[in-house]
Amino acid sequence: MRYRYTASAGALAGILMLGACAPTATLKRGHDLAVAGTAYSESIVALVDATVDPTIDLDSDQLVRVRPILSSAERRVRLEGANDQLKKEIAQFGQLKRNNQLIKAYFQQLQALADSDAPKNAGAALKDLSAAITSANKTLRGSTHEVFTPAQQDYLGTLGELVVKNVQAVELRTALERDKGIIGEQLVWQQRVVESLTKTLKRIYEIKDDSMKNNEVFAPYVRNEGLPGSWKEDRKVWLKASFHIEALGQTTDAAQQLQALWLQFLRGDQDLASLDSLLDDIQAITSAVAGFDQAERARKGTQ
Amino acid sequence: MKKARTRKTTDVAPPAPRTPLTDLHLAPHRVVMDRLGLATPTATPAPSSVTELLQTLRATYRQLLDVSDDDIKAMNDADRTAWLRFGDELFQDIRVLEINELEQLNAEFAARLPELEGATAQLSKSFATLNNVVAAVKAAAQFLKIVTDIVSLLR
Repeated sequence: MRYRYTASAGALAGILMLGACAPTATLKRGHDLAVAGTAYSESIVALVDATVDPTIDLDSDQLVRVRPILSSAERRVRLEGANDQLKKEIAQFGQLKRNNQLIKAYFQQLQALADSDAPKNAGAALKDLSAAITSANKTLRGSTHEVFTPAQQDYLGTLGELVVKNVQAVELRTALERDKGIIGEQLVWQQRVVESLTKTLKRIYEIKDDSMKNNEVFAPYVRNEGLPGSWKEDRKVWLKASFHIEALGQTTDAAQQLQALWLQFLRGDQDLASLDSLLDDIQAITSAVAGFDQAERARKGTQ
Repeated sequence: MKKARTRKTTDVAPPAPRTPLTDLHLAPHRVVMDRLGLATPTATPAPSSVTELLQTLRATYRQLLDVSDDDIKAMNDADRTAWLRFGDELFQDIRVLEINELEQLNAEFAARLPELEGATAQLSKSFATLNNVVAAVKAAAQFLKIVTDIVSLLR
């Protein structure tokens, strides 16, 4: 199934503009894109990892909750069913990780091309070749005439470097032009993965958050009994955890800008700073997950 | 939850057959939630996709669990059992849909994988071509040097 990505005329124009750039600028943009793409893919892999444990914990919580109303036979069936389903879900998480690694491999290869030291090596090699030609001319033909003076050999080296740098830039431009559709689609796909995972995490943390609100904050306060010593701390932990959950929602919104940024980047009217900020957003999700877990552990520690 | 834990589990009837997911079984859910005095799920438009259905079920599950342990203790056994069963059914439905959503994402990726792999292979080829140019120039220089050295030695 092809998912939606419209390679607009704007994107095409963008590629052409990228092509019109000087080789150094093209190589720098290619390098920046490759670095951001690699880091983005790595962040999503980390996000998948961060989703696995809370998913298993939530499943165990539900099994514990329903256990009292199940007979022994029902418990066995329920547990076996839950294990099977969870194994399926974890296998899908694993596949998501592998897929993101494949996207990362593309960007790594793009970076290898953009960062290649072939121009420098070509310059040195051409200088060597011109020196070899001069030397061979002297030796083989007994000529005293220098085919290339040392200054000319330096110049040839520089020229060779520039020529190969241009070839490198053309290769990079060709690759971006050729791959703009598939990479655009993969970025949309990654965005959907981020959305799906953040929704899963949000659901898990909202349930934990509600439980804490009801049992540690409201119930003790409403009850006609003395407040437990930990109440103030529990309330603080709950309020702080709420901010982490809010952050999850915001990062999902931010991830939706990715495709627009990609098009803008191709058009050349957007630097990679915005892509970097998206990267920060994905890292913020994983931090939020860690933050919530820490808060949860702190809460359990005070009980 | 104390009452529920001391309850004999052997006299609990086996769970009723599950209704199809697409029905959302919101109507009976509303009845149970009303009976338990819980917030009734807001009127939901018919879900047009797995994602929307998932969203609705997640919201309902969250509403269902948004009660304190004190409230649960205050329920009679029948209500508590209905509440727990209903929650468990919802939970399992959500799990099925989550897996479905992930499978769909992975299947979409798999469908476009050959193109991505082709693009990566092309990049690798471009990289190799670039290095081959350098290697060819280096080889030519090396060849000339060797020839020159041999001729020098023969003289």
